[in-house]
Amino acid sequence: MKTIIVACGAGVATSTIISSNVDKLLDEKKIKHRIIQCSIREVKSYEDEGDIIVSSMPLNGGYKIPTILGLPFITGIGVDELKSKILSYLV
Amino acid sequence: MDIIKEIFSYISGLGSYVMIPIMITLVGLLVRLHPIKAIKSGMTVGIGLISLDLVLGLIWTNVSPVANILIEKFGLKLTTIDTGWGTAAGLAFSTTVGSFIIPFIIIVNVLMLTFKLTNTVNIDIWNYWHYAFTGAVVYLLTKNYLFAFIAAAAHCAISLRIADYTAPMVQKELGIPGISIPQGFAVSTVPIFDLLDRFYNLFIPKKRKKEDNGEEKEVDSSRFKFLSVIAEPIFLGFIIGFLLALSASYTIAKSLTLGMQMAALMFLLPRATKILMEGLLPISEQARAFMQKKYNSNEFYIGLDSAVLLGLPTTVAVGLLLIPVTLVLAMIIPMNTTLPVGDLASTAFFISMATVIHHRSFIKTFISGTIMMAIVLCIASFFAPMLTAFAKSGAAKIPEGALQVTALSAGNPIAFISYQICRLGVLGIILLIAVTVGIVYIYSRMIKKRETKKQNVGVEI
Repeated sequence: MKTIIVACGAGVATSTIISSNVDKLLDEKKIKHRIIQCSIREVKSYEDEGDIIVSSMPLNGGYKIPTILGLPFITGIGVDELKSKILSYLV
Repeated sequence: MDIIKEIFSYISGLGSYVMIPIMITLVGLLVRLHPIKAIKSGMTVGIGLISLDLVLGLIWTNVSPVANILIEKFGLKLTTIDTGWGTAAGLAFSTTVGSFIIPFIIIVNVLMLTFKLTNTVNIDIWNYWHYAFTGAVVYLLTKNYLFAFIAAAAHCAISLRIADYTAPMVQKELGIPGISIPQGFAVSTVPIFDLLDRFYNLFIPKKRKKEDNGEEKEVDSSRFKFLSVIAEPIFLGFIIGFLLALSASYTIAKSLTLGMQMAALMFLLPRATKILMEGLLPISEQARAFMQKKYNSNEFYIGLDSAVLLGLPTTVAVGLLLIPVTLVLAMIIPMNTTLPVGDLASTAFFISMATVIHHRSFIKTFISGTIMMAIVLCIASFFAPMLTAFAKSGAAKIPEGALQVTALSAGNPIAFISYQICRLGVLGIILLIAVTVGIVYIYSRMIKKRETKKQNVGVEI
């Protein structure tokens, strides 16, 4: 079971799109997972439970687990690279 | 024609719980959603709106009495509570202007791209609520849909051009090429922070300015550990509710209860908003896909939410410090009537552009942030009656003499100026168009000047 923390500015809109993409990707690869969707200010309190953080903004370090920029799911540019990057941490 | 008019007036007479789902369903059909999906979208938005009203009920039943005691006891003028951007966004989307804002703004964006008045393709559909808000307050003032949509378009046009202007700076700070920030609030802060930056530079000796260029001292947010813990929405809500009740001489037990109720408010409001946004998701995804497909080229900037800037250390640190600062400002500014709560959880949003314009300088960003929050408090207080009126248009029963609601993120200078100009009626609308054209022209010239400068430097090397 892998736990993915998905964060955006308020944990409401952008992170919903990123979450649904991550969910679809991991379902395809048959990776058991759960997603915690939250705002950037809540990430710290969840990081002990998570395997990776996928965020809508570049995070400048200071987290215990790997952080990945999930923006390509929003812009549509570089989606394949992002997908393989996410998988590289989970497989 | 009369029949259409009658149908419209019948639908709007049904109240926003019925009207908004119908409008959203129509918009869904307009962007070619499957009819069932469109209906589901409309109903989900309506359910979001009902949830929002239910949660806001917490304020009217529990927080209002406390605030009234405080008003009597200390003569405090805090008659309005800041319920955060979620309420403002939800209410703005659930006005008539708001229901049609997504296709409307896309048309404005496409027109501006066609006439080369912008390079930004704004795919940050959620934040169209800022434009909807400007339109909706102008409608409340003028009762004229044409004026309302002109005001929304004006806000959008200014946003797109300012986004083009700040794009190179944003890209440099984030290290992400091809993006810009047309978010309706962030752009309104750009001219203010720009002016302040020039002002600060008057006091910085030329020599130091060179050294600092680009590499200002950053302050790590780990220094504010305590603040970063209480910055979590539920803790913030609890502490403010508890202290508020204590100062109204409630018992400890009762104060703890109000603390819990405020914590619940902070927890539930974003969730209520999320339902509303879920309803808009199929429409916004359709819109995003359309824009991406049509403008898939390097010559365009992809317009994103200012949230992409929230990871910068200066933004994080100053955002945290602004929590206590905003509370103090709320107490001392005479024009302010707002008790900041909801948007204290998102103070970083208000200074996202300051970090960029001040090249990450902590001290400049902090001073600019303080000034900005003062402006925001005054405007948010000014818009409180309008936002409360939007909430009232639902079926929510708001008791007489109850608190008003607002959101700091509705304290938007562009919305405020548009509203003031529109007081002049038809003349005002003409003036608003003229001002918008002027602003777009000024920023276009600044962009051009920068480009020629860049080319000249290139030749010298």
